[in-house]
Amino acid sequence: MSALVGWVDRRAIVALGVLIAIVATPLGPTLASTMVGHVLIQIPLLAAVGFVLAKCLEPKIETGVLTWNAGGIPGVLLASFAVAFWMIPRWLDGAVTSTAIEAAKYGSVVLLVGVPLGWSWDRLHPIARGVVKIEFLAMLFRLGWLYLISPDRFCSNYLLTDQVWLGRGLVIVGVALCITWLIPLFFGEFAHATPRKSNAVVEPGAHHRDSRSSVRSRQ
Amino acid sequence: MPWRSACAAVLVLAFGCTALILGTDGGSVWTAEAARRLAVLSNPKPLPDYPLSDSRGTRISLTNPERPLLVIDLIYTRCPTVCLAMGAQLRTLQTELAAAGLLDQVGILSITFDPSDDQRALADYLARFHAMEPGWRAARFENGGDLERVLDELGVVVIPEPNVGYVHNAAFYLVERGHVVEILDVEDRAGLFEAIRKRAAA
Repeated sequence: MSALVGWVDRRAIVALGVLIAIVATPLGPTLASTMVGHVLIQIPLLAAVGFVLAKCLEPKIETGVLTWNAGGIPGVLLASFAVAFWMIPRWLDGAVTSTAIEAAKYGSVVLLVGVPLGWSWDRLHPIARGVVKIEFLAMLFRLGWLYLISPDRFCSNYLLTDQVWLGRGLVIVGVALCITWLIPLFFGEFAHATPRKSNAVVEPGAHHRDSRSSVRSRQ
Repeated sequence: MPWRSACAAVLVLAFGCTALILGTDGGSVWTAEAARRLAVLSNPKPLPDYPLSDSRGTRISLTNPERPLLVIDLIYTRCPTVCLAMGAQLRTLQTELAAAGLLDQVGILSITFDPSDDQRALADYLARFHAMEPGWRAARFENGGDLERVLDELGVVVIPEPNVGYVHNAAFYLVERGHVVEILDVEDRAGLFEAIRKRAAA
């Protein structure tokens, strides 16, 4: 037993705890009773559970998954499609009304969003990661704007005011993520890369050596 | 080695696109409301035979209506917004049907989902719209549980809202021989009239 506990990562226990709380206690339906709770808390939590579980399992299945997931591209694609699917009002609405759709949502957000992201995100090329981030931000702002201005309800199970709150929430999360992702550009590794480059321009003799070494170090 | 991942990516693309296409009926159905409307078009939904009683206490059967066509709307009589609009539309529809000589082919039935609506409230509701009776009747289910089952069957979601009453996905249901054959927007009176005209002629 103690060996098992030692083997199982503490993060995995927390993730499983969250999963059980959402799937098997009234917490899940309570979150889904408001649109904000459903889209901005419940679904991201489920994805996070999958992400953490994938991270915990990663060392054990590394080679098997890697051969099918070079650069993390297939995994990120899979997660993107699964996210897009659950952004369709018809299925979000259905998950509130039908237990079968709700179960499909629980399973697919954990296994098709969180897990592939956990196995792919760190492997993704920084440029591809940037593209995914920008597309994700664009999705948040597009949907947020749509929900803010739409006079029609997209889901039969939620009030129009609820929909507007989700619109605000999506925009707020979008702005927060923008700031979070922008700050490292000013203070992190990118910020250090700039002066080195400008030095090279000032001292032409050092140009070749420096640029080559920086390329090498990045690889 | 990369060819495996390329295969995986292509598979994911194919699977993902298929899921999105199937999940939206080829990009045409994005909401649960649109889905239930499309569903009855291709697959008319039989109405259950639960007894209703109208504003005069007369019993009404959904499966054995007096007229070939029936327009149903689900309402509550205290409704300050969309039910008023539906009522006004139905009154205009009656005038149009009368002008087209179709009035006696089409019954209208306003069913309440508010348990506090009694016979009196239903009669007042009809009077408010100057409904042409007996073609237009207002009724409630005799047994409380029947209402829930019908709402469920039809895909009607009613959300109680404090101080306001109820919020519900309002629509007109066109019923032919006990089957819901079309679900139309409450603003789409022209579409409803056209659907009635076509079916009455057939």
